[in-house]
Amino acid sequence: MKKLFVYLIFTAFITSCESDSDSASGQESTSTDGQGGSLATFTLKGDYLYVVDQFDLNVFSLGNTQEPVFVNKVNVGFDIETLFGYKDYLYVGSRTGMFIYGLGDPEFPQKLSRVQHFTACDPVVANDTHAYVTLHSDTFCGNDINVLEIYDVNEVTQPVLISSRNLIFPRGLGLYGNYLIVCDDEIKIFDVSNPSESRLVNAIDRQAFDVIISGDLLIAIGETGLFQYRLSTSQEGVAYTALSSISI
Amino acid sequence: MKTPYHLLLLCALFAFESCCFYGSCDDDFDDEPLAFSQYEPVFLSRADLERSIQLGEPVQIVNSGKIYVKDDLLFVSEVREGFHVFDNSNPENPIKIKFIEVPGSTDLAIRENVLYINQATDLIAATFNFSTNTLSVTKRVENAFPELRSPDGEYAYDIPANSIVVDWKLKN
Repeated sequence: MKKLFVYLIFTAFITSCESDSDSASGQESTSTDGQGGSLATFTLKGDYLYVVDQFDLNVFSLGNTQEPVFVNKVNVGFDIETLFGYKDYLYVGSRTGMFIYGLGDPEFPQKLSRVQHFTACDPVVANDTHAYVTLHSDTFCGNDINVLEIYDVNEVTQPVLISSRNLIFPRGLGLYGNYLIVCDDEIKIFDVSNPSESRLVNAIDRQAFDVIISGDLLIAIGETGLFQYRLSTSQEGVAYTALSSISI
Repeated sequence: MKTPYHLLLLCALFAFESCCFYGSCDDDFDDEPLAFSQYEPVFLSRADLERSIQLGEPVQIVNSGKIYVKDDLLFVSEVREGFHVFDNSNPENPIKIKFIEVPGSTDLAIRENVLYINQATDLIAATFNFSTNTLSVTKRVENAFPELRSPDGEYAYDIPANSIVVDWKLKN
């Protein structure tokens, strides 16, 4: 009987979680959709597929999933590189800044705000309260800037830069609860429970350019390999266990 | 000894200049277009582009790109060539099961059993079932995206008729 009770509580919990994530409809909410890394230019949201190219944000209707229909093209700017969907917002990373678009009307994304920075490449990820941006320089991005920036986006129309710290060569990044995982000269794990004071808690000695964090699974891709780790949290921070590595 | 050498140099200079003067320098440029880019474009005719998408056996990863996860499947882009597909039901032992050939592609997203892929200027949708070895394109939105620029930001010129730039390769 006790077992049944526990089971009922458990299922109730699971169901409530599901409905939560449905209403949230963030990037990885619906199990029917896959999940990309922070360098992605595609994101699925409701009945729409959003794709950024160098200049524009393109909207495709997926009323019929097998036959997308091109419904809108919104000019964003120059050198657009990445797209991250979270709840009713799209975060667009470009070489000149980060843009936040609202999806109140999903066929007409509305520009809510823009933060400018020096010319550098910049993927972005976000949660309810903060957006995390890495800026890096390479041959084509110009300048010598290698920075992790953290913005307070509680007010999406007015993002506020609350932290900026130098890194070596940061690229893709991902959130794991209160931790931020950044591809730098190593894969670095920062405690961002207080986002204005990020703190390095662990590092994986691998060079990667993007990550996907799916539950406790960390998948990292680099020029020389595909690496997978199992993450776990403890009092001290985050621990990892190597699962597999495929050399490229 | 000294004078003839200078004369020879002068003659050579003249010969070189006259070559330019009579317009044959243009021919030299035709042999090597985009002198300002370190890259040269790879073209595919539209007909070939539309025939090019195929589900094949696994191949070696050479130039790894973006990653994507859907259930137990893990996709790794082979930049501007297609996607490696892994069965990742056991992350301790991911097994490469297929290669989806899509020249010109870099990105994808998946809803249910439908793949959305950027193929150079086009967006394509395709249904897949790897256990039955099937992949079929269900929609192609032509010219949704701008023409591919080289990694150093140049546009191709002298594009053959009805052809699309699907990649840029470093010049030798």
